[in-house]
Amino acid sequence: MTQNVRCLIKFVDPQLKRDEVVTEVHYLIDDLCDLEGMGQTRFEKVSEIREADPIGVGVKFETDAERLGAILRRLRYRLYYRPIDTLFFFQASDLNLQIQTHRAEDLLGLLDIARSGLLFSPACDYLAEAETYSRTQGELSPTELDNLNLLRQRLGLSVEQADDLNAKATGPYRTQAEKRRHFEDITQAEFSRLRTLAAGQPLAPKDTWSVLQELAENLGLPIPTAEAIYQQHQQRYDDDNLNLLQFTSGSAEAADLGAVIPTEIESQTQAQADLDQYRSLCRQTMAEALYPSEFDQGRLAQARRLHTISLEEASTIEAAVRDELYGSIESATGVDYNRLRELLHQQAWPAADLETEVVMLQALNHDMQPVTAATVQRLSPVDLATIDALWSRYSNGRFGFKAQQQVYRGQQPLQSDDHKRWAVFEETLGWREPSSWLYQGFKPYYNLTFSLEAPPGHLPTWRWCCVSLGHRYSPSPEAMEAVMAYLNDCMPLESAMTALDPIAIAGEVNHAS
Amino acid sequence: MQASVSNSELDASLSELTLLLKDEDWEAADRLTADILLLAVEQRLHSGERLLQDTSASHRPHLTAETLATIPCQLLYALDSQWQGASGGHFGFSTQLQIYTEILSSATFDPALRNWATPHPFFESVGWLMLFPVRPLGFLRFYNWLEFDLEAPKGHLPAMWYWHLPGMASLRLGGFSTGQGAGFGDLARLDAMMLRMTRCQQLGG
Repeated sequence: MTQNVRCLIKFVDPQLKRDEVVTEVHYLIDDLCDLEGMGQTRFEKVSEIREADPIGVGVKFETDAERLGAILRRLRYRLYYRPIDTLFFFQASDLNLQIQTHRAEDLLGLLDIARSGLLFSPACDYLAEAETYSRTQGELSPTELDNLNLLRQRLGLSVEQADDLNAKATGPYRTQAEKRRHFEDITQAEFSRLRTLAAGQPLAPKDTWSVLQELAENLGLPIPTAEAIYQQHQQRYDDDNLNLLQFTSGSAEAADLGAVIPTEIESQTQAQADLDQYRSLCRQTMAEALYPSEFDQGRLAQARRLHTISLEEASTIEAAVRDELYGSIESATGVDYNRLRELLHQQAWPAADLETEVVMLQALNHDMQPVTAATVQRLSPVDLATIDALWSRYSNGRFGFKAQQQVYRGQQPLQSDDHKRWAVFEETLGWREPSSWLYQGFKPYYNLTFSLEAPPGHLPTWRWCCVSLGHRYSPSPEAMEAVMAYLNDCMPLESAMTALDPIAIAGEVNHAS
Repeated sequence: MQASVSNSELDASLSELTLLLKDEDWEAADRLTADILLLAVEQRLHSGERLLQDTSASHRPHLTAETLATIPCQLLYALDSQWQGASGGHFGFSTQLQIYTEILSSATFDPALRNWATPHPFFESVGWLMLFPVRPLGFLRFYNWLEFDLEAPKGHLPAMWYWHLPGMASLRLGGFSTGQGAGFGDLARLDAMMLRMTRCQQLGG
C-alpha cells in the first residue's frame, strides 16, 4: 500500500537574487511542513554553486505517495501567487515526473498524471484542495463548495467524508463572517484589557498586533481583513485616550477627519485645527510643570505625529504656550532666560539671584565684568523688562526692579543727602542694617533673605554691580545712582507719573477720550 | 576677546612664566604672576577703561577689589591653567576657588561676626596664617615665610597677587608696609578674586 515518492523542488529562476532564493526555500519548507501528516518528513536542502559559493536553491524529501496530491496542490497554490520558474521532480518506483514551470496550471496537469500512475489518497487530495480554498478566502464560497463537490464525486468520497474534511479544512469557525466575528471579539477583549492595564496610555502597544496576527493566521482569516479590524480598534483606543486628554472642542472635528473629502480649504482649516489641538495639549501638559514630564512628552510626540505637525512648528507652539503660561522671555541680546524662568518658577531664590547676575552680565557682553555706572546703559531695556517681569510674576509683585523703583520712589522725598539716601534705600530693601559709629551695618551677601518673607524689593540683589560679596554686600552709591536712573528711563512707573506730572496725565486722558 | 591679552609684552611674560613653572621655581613664578596681573590692569588704564574708583589717587595701579573684578577672563584662564598644569592641580586660582566655595557652602564661619580672633577658614586651609609668636591668631605670614614647594598646603600659591598691597593699605590691615604680611586678610579682595573666577567660569570656558 505504502509507496514512497522522492521529490525534488528547485528554484531555477535566474532573476531571483541570492537571499531571495534562500527565503523562498525557507517558506517552501514551511508551507510543506504545514500540510497534514508532513510534520515528520525530513527535508534536505539542495545546494548549488552560485558565484563560487554554495547556496540552498531547493529542497529534497521523501514522502508517502498518498500525500503527493496534497503537496502538488499546495505547490500550485504557491505558484499561483508567486510565479517563479521552478523545477519539480518526482520519482516513484516506476515513474519519473519532471517539469519546469512558473505556471500554476501546469502543476494541475502533473497532478492528473500522478493520479493515474500512483497510489493515491482521495481524502488527502480533497483536504488539500479544501484547505487551499479556505486559506485564500477564509471561508468556502458557493463556487468553491461546488468545485469541491465535483472533486468529491471524482475521487469517490462519500458526502459525510467530504463534510468532515471540509470542517477540518475550515476549522471551528466555518464561514469568514464567523471568523471575523471571532477575531473582532478577541481584539475587543484585548483592548479592553489594555485599557484597564495601562489607563491613559495614549499609544497602543505594538506587540498586541503580532499576537493577533498569529491568531488570524491560525483562524485562516486573511491578514488584510484582520489588520483592518485591528487598526479600527487601535484607532478607537488611541482616539479615546486623546479625547480624554483634550477637554477643548476641536477634537470632534479631528475625529471626523477620515470622513471628509479633503479639499484645499478643508485641509487648511484642518491643519489649523490640528495646530489648535496640539496647542491645547501643550497647555495641558505644561499646566503643572514648566517642562512636560517624560510621560507628557510622549503624549506630545504622539499628538504631533497624529496631527502631522513638523518638529519646528511643534517647538514654536511649545515655546509660545510656555511664554503664555509662564511669562515671556524676550531678549534683545540673544540671552537665554529659560533657566531664570525655571528657577523662579521653582522659587529657588538664591539660584535665581545668581542666574540673574549671569544673564545680566551676559547681556552686557563685557567679559563678565560687573555693571558699572559707565556701562549700565548698555543693558537692553527689553532684557531688563523681561527679568523684572519674571521676578515680579513669581513673587506676586514683591520682587523685581519695579518693586525696587517703588521703594526708592517712596522714600526719595525724605532724604536730600545723596549718601544718606542710598543708605536708607538699602535699609528699606533689607540689604543692610542701620549703621552706628562702630558698625557700618553691611551684611554679607549670604546673609541676605532669600525667601518671600524678605522686604519688598529685597530681590533680585544688585550683585551684578558688586566687585565682592563675601564679607559684605554693598553696591557702590555711584553704581546704584546710575542703575536707578537707567531703570527709571527704561521702565517708568505709571503711578509715579501721576504723582509727579498731573498735567501730562490729564493730557493723556483727554487724548484717550 | 580681549585685545590687551594678545599684547606682545603679556605674551612674553606668559612664556617666561611657563619656563619658571617648568623649573618649579615657584616663588619667581608667583611674583611674575602678580606682575602679569598688574600689567593687565595697567594696560586697561592706558586703553582708557574707566575704573570704578580712586585710580587717580595713586598712579601706580594695585590689585584692589575693583581692579581684580575687571581682569580679563582669558588671562585668568591662561595663568590658572599654567599653574594647574605645572603643579598637577595643587596650585592655581581655581584650586583656591574650589577651597573657597567648599568653605562657603559647608563651614559655620560667619563673616559678619567681625571677630578679629577668628580668621577666615580659607587662610587656615591654604596655610597663609602666621600661627607664630610674632603675631597672634588671625594674622597672615610674611611673604618670605610662605612655602614655595609642593609640600605646601593645597591652594597655597599663587599668593603674591594677594600680598601685593600699597603701604597705606597694609598699615590699615595691621601690617607694616609688608603687604598682607603680618596683617589681617583683606576679605574684600579675596572675595573679589574668587567672584571674578566664578564669573569667568560662567562664560563657559
